[in-house]
This record gives sequence, structure tokens and C-alpha cells, in this order.
Amino acid sequence: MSLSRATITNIFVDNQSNLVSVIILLLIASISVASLFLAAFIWSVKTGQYDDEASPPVRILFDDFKK
Amino acid sequence: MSLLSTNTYVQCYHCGEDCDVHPILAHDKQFCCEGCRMVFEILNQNGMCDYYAISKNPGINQRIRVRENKFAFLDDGAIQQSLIVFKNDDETHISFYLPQIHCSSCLWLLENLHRLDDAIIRCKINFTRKEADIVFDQRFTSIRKIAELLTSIGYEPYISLKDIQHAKPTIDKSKIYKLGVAGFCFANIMLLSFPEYLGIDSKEQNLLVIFRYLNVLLSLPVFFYSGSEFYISAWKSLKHGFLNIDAPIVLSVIVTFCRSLYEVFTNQGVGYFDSMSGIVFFMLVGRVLQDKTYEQLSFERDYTSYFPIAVTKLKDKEEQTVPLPDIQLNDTLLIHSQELIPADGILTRGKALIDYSFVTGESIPVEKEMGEIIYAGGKQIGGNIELLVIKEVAQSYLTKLWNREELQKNKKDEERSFVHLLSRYFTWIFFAIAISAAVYWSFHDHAKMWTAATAVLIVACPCALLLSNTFTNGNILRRLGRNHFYLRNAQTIEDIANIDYIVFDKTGTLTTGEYHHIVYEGQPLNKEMKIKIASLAVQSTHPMSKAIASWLNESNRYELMVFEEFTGKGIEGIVENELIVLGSKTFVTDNALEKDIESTVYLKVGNTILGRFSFQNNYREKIPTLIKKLRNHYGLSVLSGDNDGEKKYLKDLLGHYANISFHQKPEDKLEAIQQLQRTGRKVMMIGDGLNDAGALKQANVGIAVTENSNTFTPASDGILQANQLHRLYTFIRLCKANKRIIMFAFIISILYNIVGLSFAVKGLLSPMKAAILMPSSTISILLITFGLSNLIAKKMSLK
Amino acid sequence: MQVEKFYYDNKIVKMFAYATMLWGVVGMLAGLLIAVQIYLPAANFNLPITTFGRVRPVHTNAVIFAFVGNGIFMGVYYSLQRLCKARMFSDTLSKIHFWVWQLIIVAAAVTLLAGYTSGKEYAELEWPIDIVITLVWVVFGINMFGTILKRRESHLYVAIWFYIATWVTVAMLHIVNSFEIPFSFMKSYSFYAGVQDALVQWWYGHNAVAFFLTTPYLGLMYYFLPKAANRPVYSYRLSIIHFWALIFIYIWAGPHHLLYTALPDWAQSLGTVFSIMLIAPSWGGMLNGLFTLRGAWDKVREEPVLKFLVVAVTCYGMATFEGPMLSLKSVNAISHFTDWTIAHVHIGALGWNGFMTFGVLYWLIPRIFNTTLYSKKLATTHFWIGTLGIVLYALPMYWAGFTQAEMWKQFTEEGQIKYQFLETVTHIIPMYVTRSLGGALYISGVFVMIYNIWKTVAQGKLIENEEAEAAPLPKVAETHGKQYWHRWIERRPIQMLVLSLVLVAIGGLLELVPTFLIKSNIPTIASVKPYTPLELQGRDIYIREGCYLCHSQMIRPFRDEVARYGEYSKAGEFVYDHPFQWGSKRTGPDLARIGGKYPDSWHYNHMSDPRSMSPGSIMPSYSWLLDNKLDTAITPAKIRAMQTLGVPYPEGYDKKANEDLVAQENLIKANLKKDKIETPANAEIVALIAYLQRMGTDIKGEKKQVASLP
Repeated sequence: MSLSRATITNIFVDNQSNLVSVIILLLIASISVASLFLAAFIWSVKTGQYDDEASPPVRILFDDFKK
Repeated sequence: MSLLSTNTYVQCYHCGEDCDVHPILAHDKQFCCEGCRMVFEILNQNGMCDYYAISKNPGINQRIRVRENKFAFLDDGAIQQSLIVFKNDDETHISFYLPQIHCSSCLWLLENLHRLDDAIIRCKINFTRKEADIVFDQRFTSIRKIAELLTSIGYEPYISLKDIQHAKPTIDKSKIYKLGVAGFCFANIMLLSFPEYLGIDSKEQNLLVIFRYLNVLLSLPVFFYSGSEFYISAWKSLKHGFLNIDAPIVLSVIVTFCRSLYEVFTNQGVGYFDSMSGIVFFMLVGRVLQDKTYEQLSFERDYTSYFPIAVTKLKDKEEQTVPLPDIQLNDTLLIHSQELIPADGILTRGKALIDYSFVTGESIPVEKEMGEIIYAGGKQIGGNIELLVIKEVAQSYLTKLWNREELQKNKKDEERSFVHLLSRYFTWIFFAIAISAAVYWSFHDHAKMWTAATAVLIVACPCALLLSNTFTNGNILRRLGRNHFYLRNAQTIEDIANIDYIVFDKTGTLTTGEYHHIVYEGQPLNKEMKIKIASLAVQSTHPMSKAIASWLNESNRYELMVFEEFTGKGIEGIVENELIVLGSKTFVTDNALEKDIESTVYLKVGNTILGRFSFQNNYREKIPTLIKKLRNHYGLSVLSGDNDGEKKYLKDLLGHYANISFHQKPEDKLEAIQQLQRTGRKVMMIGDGLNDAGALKQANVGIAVTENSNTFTPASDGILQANQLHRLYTFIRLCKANKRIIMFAFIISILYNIVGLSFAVKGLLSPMKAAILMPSSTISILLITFGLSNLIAKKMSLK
Repeated sequence: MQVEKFYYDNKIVKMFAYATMLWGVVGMLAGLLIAVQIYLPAANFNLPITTFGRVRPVHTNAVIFAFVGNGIFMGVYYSLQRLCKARMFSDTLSKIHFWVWQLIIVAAAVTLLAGYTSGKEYAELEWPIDIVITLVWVVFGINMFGTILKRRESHLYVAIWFYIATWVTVAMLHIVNSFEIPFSFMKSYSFYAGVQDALVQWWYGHNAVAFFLTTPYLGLMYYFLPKAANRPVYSYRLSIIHFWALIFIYIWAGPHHLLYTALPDWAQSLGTVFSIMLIAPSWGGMLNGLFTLRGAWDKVREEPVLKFLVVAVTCYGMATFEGPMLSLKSVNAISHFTDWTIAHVHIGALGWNGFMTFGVLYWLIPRIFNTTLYSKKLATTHFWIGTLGIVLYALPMYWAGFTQAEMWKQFTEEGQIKYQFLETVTHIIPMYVTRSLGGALYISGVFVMIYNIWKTVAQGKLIENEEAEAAPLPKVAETHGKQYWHRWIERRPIQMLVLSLVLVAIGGLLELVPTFLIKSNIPTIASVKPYTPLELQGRDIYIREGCYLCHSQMIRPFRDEVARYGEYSKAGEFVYDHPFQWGSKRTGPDLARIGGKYPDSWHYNHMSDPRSMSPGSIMPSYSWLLDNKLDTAITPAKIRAMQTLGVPYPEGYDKKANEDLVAQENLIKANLKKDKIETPANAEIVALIAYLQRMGTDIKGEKKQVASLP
């Protein structure tokens, strides 16, 4: 059985629309995760997570200084 | 009796300062003073010596002890109420400003405060703001006790009148949210637009449509939320009948958004959502960068930051703590040593020795006799005194100066910048082009009329101008900050570039507050005598006495047999069996009829007056060079509150055109600035004291000079660290370069605009071309502004 | 309310640390074995379970999920407790997490060696294990977020953000990529087919690298590097920007693994664009790490821990620069399918992950055992052996990659391909030998470390519960006195449980979405036909034996590839490939158009003894396929599963499938018989031959040698 070029192109093209579904799926997944992080970002600014950038990096070093 | 010889420099284990001759020994460690040793003892007893392991010699010098009941006012209920952030049955939250915080040891020690007092539950430090948020159980301790505990370990809380009068300024974070939302939407819109640019097959219609509608969805928050920053600002200035730079940007954003919506809903194309959200995102980045704040500095300090929160009032011989605003006329106040005079009053008891360095910059204390008026703002450094209030706090000399009407209004930042003017011309030109394009196409190809006209407006967005402006400003602010010249905001850069007249305060600004420049007249002193005098002088904390000790430059010391200090007069002691007296002329000569000479200390050994030390102002390093550079470009004035003793020297320094005035009261200074401004001068005032505050505020640019960025400065547009004053001319030049950089970047961006326009007028501006133009112009502008401003700063050998 | 006393759980940290070392050794030994097998086919021992195709997934899975995985948990359980000033949320969950994770690893090793594989790289584990992984990940999540919620330090240090990102993203990737239809207890077919499967797989594959091998380790870097150097990170602000930029860009770089494949161009370019953008945040992170040591290089000279960390961060920088470069189309054209990729990933694995893990182990073990490291000297020795190992590993592989790519693409003046594929293989065998030496050195370093740590443990005593104290967070937030929402959950474990169930339900619902989406989109093109039952069975053997690990099925549109292998691959050819088998490495030649190239007997002999057909070949022998009986009882189930996935077998075909299978088998047997080869009935080899001969023939433009079924 042999196929003409036309059929080949046809296969190629038709299959691309097939990608729609999976790309949509990946988009939904990625954008929802990104939105989650956006919410996290807003939360962190709102609650003052970044108000003081000087002490947190220093503070983590203090575990080793105990009674 | 032995000669103690200490040629080696001994560092205090606690604070790292020189230990003089008699280091105090404890636990095999050396301390400079009893105070430092006591802090060490406290920490040692509580097993908290890790304090010394985190940073080297982290402590704060404790030579000047804090008065014992200084914090008694914290027992007052009303004052407590004003300081408490939150309170319930078993916990109270309070926030203290601790200016001494400076290193990681401080952070560690203070956050372990609960180990020094069980009733403290937690102590959290904000290093940037030097604040401690403390939670404690009020059933077992009190605010006063905590303040005293902090003081005992070297972190005396600074509590000022401001703490009751004003709420803490909250930082506006909305720009950051807008930035985050714009960033998120921009990234995703870009992602969804790429397929179309990267050649997605037109047969994948479904996918394309989905991408486009997702883009519409994602652009909504950018348009309605992130962009609101610009709408609000444009609207505000429009209401004032003024077209600022945001106005054309807003127009452009709205046009872009509507056109994109139209394209998507009529299924004609992707629209320009990526360009629009990108622009909004980058412009917000620029604004956030430009708004960089120096949180640890305050440019807005008024007298309330200086004044104590409460004072001791004497009523029927009983001491009573009252909040400052409650002071009334004819109250008698008890002013302790080291306390600030909060209101003008008449000295009714005690000997006043007032240090007006807060007010004038002059640190030689002034003596006041009973019955004399003492003005608010001075600091009593002698013993306790009593004061009869003759003016309420709000009416006193200094406060009144502050409350003058002309100083209350804020300068209108917005409308001053040349950028707005530029954008206005720019906008009209582009409007003209848009209309011509529309007219042209309405005749030739009616269908293209709207496409072309809207495309021109999309391109016409002067966002490149805004970007170059905000990014250059932000970078220049950062560079200046690195060189310890902190500006209140970006507008100040331009104001500095525009000045043509500079007014200096003298004392504390051109000169240092310290008196190391001493001239001795009289019988020559041999080495032996110098050691004797130094041994005596070192015993007193009076600034002049300390200065003499260090001027003598002898490291050996004798032990004193007898020592006595007469506040406001002088000191005497027996050294190696010889009586030595240092002090004012009246004191040394014991003749009350003699007239004292200011800034002079007499020396008497035995019964002979050997000579006198006269103190001269110590001009800051390289000031003459600075003045020589400045006087070629600017009109110069010196306004000094002091006497005219140094008139000649200043005349030589400033050239003959300079205006030099002495005996200037604060309102005189203010008046002088106003006078200059009336003649059309743009004035920069450089000062340091509260007495300059009015002038600083009135001037087009007010720069406060400070010894270190933690000490207090009056309200100003910029804070300059004193040891950097000699580079003032370089800083001004950098500010001037700022404008040139913006102009240059702007010209480049116009080139991009011309490219964009050439597509736009032909009705050929595709989203892809816009998407390429937008980031390439943005990135090249960023590179230009950063590159140029850094290059210029480097050329000027700025850090 | 008072300052609270609490205890850090060091025991769980110890357990994960031991597991890290154990699985590190196992994974690396597996790696060493396959490295030797590649030039010494005899080292395959002619046993299914010791053959390259089965050991390599064990190597990759063991190193990634067992060694690095346990390394992550060790680091997270240590640092999270201290950063939050709280013990882990639940000791029970910690223990469940630990033991189930080890169980998964054992199960993975056993099933992979037994030939149960989904055939998707780095996601090879079969469906029951996938489900257990999901569950244990939820356990880890509850434990981590629980700890964060009950923390006593209000600020979430940047490392925690990296841990959170890891958890969220890996959960999403794992779920989306693991959609599969089971047809027996241990076997399933991927939900997606061909191009779709490839896209999902590499979206997953790349992000697995990003969010399993990178973000958690960046978190560890931001914690352990400053701790080891005893100085704060160079710029905390940069680390915050680093995090948010990385999070928003990383997700979309996946398609760069599919350049020049049958994936649409725009999707490929998208991968490239986003990969290039990644340089900025990655290097921001690297420089932040290195600058932290600014002015402390004297400490690096003395402290082996810092040495390890410095090399790790440097390797991260190298790998994250190389990655975007490799995703440029022109570079990728050369590098893809060669050993260059192997070199690239091992810079990351040996340098970044390996050295970071060693550094953390050396730093943390003495601390939880309340002692000092037994010997700094030995640790330094380990460092130098390991570094030399990396160099000896990477350089030959880069060299091999360039050589291979160059030889593949050469033509003679007459326009003929200059080198036979086998020549390009035998040429680089010396490099393979050197590589295995490098690997051996690296492992010997690990043994030195284990000895050192064993002695350290012996001289110390584990502080199972380390005392600490801190005040609880203020009940009232300083901002307007509003209560945080999580306080509500924190006090009510039931609410928390409900909430997590709701989340799982949403996740499950999301899983259903593609079912509707996909079904309507399956194309029904007459020209490309589903596999026959025998071919399908053969394909499953192909997958079982891990053929895809050495052979690609993707001819890229390059002159040399078309000349060597035939017409380049089209997307439409793979619509029935559940899973796709494009492969990522060509140790052997591409097989996309192998069908009809050789007679059946050639394949038979080649499987029995590869060197008898192509002398010098490094392919292992698969002689057991000659005798193994094909399990035909499962054929109907397989057909039904395929039908569910939309493969258009006629209704009720599952019942007739085995008849067709036997018919086709007999044809092949007859073919073999012509070449004097007798095979027993139902031999697996026949099924495999059927699949191989089918490959690429649908649009091959030549006469088919094997008849297809109606």
C-alpha cells in the first residue's frame, strides 16, 4: 500500500488540531498553578513578609547560638 | 606614685572603643567603662555571651549613663495607652524605636530578650526600621521596666512626642500588588501571544481563538487594576488643569485596549494585549524603583520627633510626670541633666548649662543664670534645673517657626518636572500625526482610517519617556545613596540640577561640631605639664575638657589626688601635688567682675595663670576646595547663627560676591531664603540644626547634613553624611547628568517611535511588530539609562 | 502565654540521611553497571533483569527519586523545622512519609527490573506506584503545610518558598503526566498518544528537572550555604526576585526537548524562547550563592562543606547556562540524541545535586549527632576524588557527543553517508571507558564519605529531640487586628482534613476534563492503522525491554538523517502510540523506519546474538525472547484498553484479536522457516519482529513486506 504526498500532508495537518486538547490541559494546569503563586505573592506582600529584608537572612544563622 | 604608661591601644571588649588608661578588668576581659562592664555582666549571668561571638565588639558605649528614673513617665496611664499597639488580658504589644541597632549581634540579643525577663514573650526586630515589636505579659512587668531593661543593655528606646501625636505612617503597598498582577498577566499573555507570532498554523483556529480569549481575560486585571496607578495620577493633574506625563500614556493604554478588544471580538487578530500589559508592567517597575525609600531615614521630622513624650512637673513640691501636650503656662518643670527643654521658660532654680547643638549645631554649652529665658530645643547638660513655663509647647519659639503657614504647604512635586512639559509637546505632535493619518486614509482607503489613527495613538504612548525618566531617577537615587547622599524622592534630583544659589549654614555644616582646633596662648607647656593637664581634663565629660585632653596628645596619665567639677564653670584637681584649674575666666581668676570670653578656657597651675586655650571652629575637610569649585557656578551665602569672629576667613574662602551674615536667628534664615527666591533664585539650603529647619523647608532644595545617618536631622529634601559634604559639587553634577541621560534615552525612544509610526500611518502596525518594538525599545532604554548613569557616576569616581 | 519549649525531630532527618546515602550508592552502582555495559556487552550477563534496558531506568529513578528525593526530604525536614521554629506537624506523617517513600523505591526497583514500565522517561513507574506516590506526596504536603501553619516565626524564609513551589508543581506535573488506563494489575497505557504524549511527557520531564532537581535544591542552597559559611546570603532581595521570576517562567520551557521533532514549530520555538529567558533568574540565583562567600574564601579553603557547596553552585551555573544554549535550534541540531545531553545532565546530577547533598550531609550529620566530623581530611579527599570523577565523566562525554554528531553528519563526495552508524559507536568507545572510570571514582568518593560519616555517627550520639524555644506568633496580627484565615484551620484538624479532601476532589475533577476533550479529538484517518494484536504485543515487549533508551523513533528533517533512516517523521504517524517512543538518545540507530529494512530472520539472529549480524555492536543479547512465551490471555484486555483510548478497533474485536494474532504469527514463522529458523509457538520474539517490521511502514512509500491485517 502506498500513499500519496497529499495524504501525508493531510495526516500531518489533521493531527495538529489533535494537539488542542492537550495544550489546553497544560494551559489550565499551568495557569492555575501560576495563579496560585500570584495569590501567594499578594498574600506575602500584604502580610508584610518583605517589609524587612535585612533581618531574615541574618536570623536563620542564630539557631546555633543557644543556651 | 607611679607613672602609668599605656602605649598599647586597648579595645573595650563590649564596645570596641579605646579603654584609656584604666581598663576595667572583669572575667579576663577589658572594658572602657563601668557601663560596658555592667552590660557584659548582665549578659554573662544569663548565658548570652554569644552576643560577642556573632559580631566583634558589638556593644554600644556606656560611658554616659542614663538617668535612673528617666522612664518614670512610662508609668503614666495616658502615655502607656498612646504607646500600646494591642492589649488583652495576658499580653500587651508595644513597639519601640531603638536607634542603636546596628549589627547582627543586636538582632540576636534583642530577639532573645525573653531570656533576660521572663515576662517578655517575644521581641521581634525590624532591622530596616530599627524597631522592636515586643509582646509581654503586663501582669509581671511594665513598659517602664522593659524600657529600663533595654537601656541597661545599651539599647535605650527613643520615645518622642511624635509617638503620641502621629500614627505610624503605613507604607503603601498597592504599587507592589499592581506590579505582581501586571507581571503575572504579562508573562501569560506573552506566552499566549507567541504562538501567533511564531507561526502557528492558521488551521488551528480553535487553539488561536482560545488563546485570544484567554488574553482578553488576562488583560482585564492589567487594564482595570494595574493601570489604575496611571489613571489616578492623570486624573488628578487633569483636575488641576494640568496635563502630566501620565495623561497621554493613559490615552494610549485605553486606545490599545479598546482596539485589541475590537480585533479579538471581530475575529480580526490577536490585538496588542502583550504590548499593553508589558508597558504597564515595565512602567510600574520603573515607578517602584524610583520610589525606593530609605526607611531608616526620615525626611519629615518636625519638632515632635525631638521632644520628649513627657516631662516632670513640680506641683506643690511634688514631682509628677505629665505628657508634653498637657503642659500649661506657669507650670514649673523639673529638667534633669541630659534632658531637652520642651518649652520656653524662665530659669527659676539651678545653674543652666544649655547645649544648643540640636538647634544651632554649636556644641559649646551656653550658661544661663537664674531669671534668664531658656528657649525650647536646648539640652541641659549640667545638673537639674527648674523652669517656669512662659509659653506652651505649641507656642514656643521653635514650634512657632515650624507652624508658619508658608511652611505647611507641600511643594507640588508633579508639575515641576520638565518631563511633563516634554510629554505635552510630544503628545500634541502625535495627535497631529494621528489626525493627518486619519484624514489621509479617509480619502484614500476609508477602511484604514481607524486602523491608522488608533495605531498612531498606540505608538504615540510616551511610555519610553516615562521609563527613561523613572529608571534613570531610580538608578541615580541608588548611586547617590551608596555615597551616603539620600534624597527624599526622585523630583529632588531635578530640583538639585536646577538650583543656581547655595546657602550654607556655618556651624555644624561647614564646620564640625567638635572642637579639635585649639590655639594655646601663654607660657609654654613642657611634657610633664601637658601630662598633668591631660590627666585632669580627661576626667570631665564636658566637650571642651575632652577636646583639651585629646589636643594635648599625651598617652600617659597621672592619678589624681582630688578632683572636682563645677558645672558651668570649670574643673580642678590635684595632680602630682599640684593644684590645676581649668575653666572660664571668671572661675579661674575668681573675679566675678571679669567678662568671660566665649570659647576660651583658662589654665591655672598653683596660683599662676599659665595661659588660655581658645577654641576655633574646625572646618570640614576639603571644604575650601569645594567652595572654590562652587563659587564659579553658583551664588553663595553663609548664614551663621554665631558671632562674626571668622568673618575674614569666610570672606577669603567664598570670594567677594558671597553674602556672609552672622547672628542669624532661625526666622532670619528663613527670610533670607525667601528674599533670594523673590529675586528669582533657585536656592539650595544646606544646614544641620533645628534652627535651619525653616530655611531648609523654604528652600527649593533643603539638604540636611548629619554626622551619621542615625542621628536626627530636621525635615529636608535630602540627607547628606557630613564626611561626604566635600563631594557636593560632584553630586550636583550627577543630578545634572540625570537630565541629559533622560533626554538622550528619550531621543533614542523617538527613533523607535518613528519606526513604529512609519508602520502606523500606513495602517500596517501588526501586533507582532508592536510586540517586537515594545520590549526592544524598553530594553535598550533600560540599558542606556543604567549604562550611562553608571558610567557617569564611575567617571565622577562615585561608588 | 509564654515562651514555648519544643523539640526538633532529628530522628526523621537521620532516617532520610541514611536513606539518601543508601540509595545514592545503589543508584550510582546501577549507573556504573550500565556505563560498563555500554562498552562491555558481556556485563549484561544475558539475564533480563541485568540488561541495560532494565537497569537504566533503575539508575535514573534511583538517582532522581531515591537519592535526590531522600536528599530533599532530609534537607527540608531539617531546615523547615528550624526556619519555622516548630517541630514537624506530625511525627506519624513523617514516619509514613519516610517508610512509604522507601517502599515506593523498593517497589520501583523491583518492578522496573521485572520489566514493568510505562515507557515514558523519568515517569516509568506503573500506575499502582503512581497512585502511592500521589498519596505520599499528599502526606508530605500536609506535613509541610501543617508545619508552616504552626510556625513560630512569622517570616517565611525564601527557602520555604522554594519548598512550597516544589510541592505544588511536582504534584501538578505528576498528576497530569500520569494519566493512564490500566489493563492489568501492573500495566497500563498512557492516556495520551504520539505528539500529545510527547508534549505532556517533556513538559513533565523538563519541569521534573526544574522542580525536583532544582527548586528544592535552591531552597537547600539558600539555607545551608549561609549556615555553613556563617554569613547571611549576599542579597536577600535578589533571592526573592530570583524565586518569583523562576516560578513564573520555568513552567514553559519543556518543549525544547522536542526541537526538530514532529511537534509543531511554534510550540518548539515557544520552548526555546522561555528557556533563554531562564538564564536570568538561574544566574541570579547562582551569583547570589557565590557572592555569599565574598570575603570568606579563606573559609572555603579550610572547610570541605563549603568546597562541596561552591562546586555545586558552580555546576548549577554551568548547567543552567548550557541548558538554554542546548535549546537553541542550531545547537540542538548537533547535541540532541548524542552523549552531549548525558554530559549536560551529569554536570547537574553529579555536580549540583550530588555535591550539594554531600555538603549538606557533612554539615548536618555531626550537628544532629552532637559531635564534629570524624575527619575533615577524608572529606577533603572525597571532594577531590569526586571533582576528578566529574571531570573524567563529563569531558569524555562532551567529546563523545561532538564526535558522534560530527560523524553522523558527514557525507562522502559522492553524496553518500560517510560513516555507518556502528562506526560512529565503536569510535567513541574509549570515551565510554573513561567515563566509567570517572563514575567509579565518584562512587569511591561516596564510599569514603560513608566511612567518614559512619565514624562520625559512632563517636557522637543522636539528639533525637533537639530542644529549642520560641514564642508563638502573636494571636493578633499587628495589621488591624484581623485574624489570619489559617488560624481557623490550624486549630481544627478536621477542617484541615476536609479542605485537603476538597482539594483532592478538585484535582480528580480536573483529571476528568481531558477525557471529554480528547475523545472528540481523536482523528479517524484511514491511512494510519492501529497496531495488529501481535504488533501491539511486540510493542509492549519493546517497551518492557527499554529499547527506547538507546533507539529513537524520530527522524528529524536533516539531510543526513533522511539519507540514513528514510523519510522524516510526521506527527500523524504516531496517533496510536500509547505511549510515544520517540526516545531521547541514540546509542543505537533510529528505528522509526526499520520496518521492512531487514528480513525477519535478521532480527531473529540479531536478538539472539547482535554481534553475529553486526560485528562490534554493543547491543546486549536478548536471547530469552526466543523462548519466552507470549501472554496471549491478556490480548483482549489490551485491545479493550486501546478502544477506551479511542483507538478504532471494531467493536467486539477484543474477542477476535487472538485469532488475528495467531494468523500473523504463523506468517512470520513461515518466513523464519524459509531461513531455517524454527520457533516454538507463542514465542515473544515473533511479536517483537512483527512490531519492528511494522514500524514506519504506514507511509513508507514502499511495498510492505509484512501483510497487514484487514
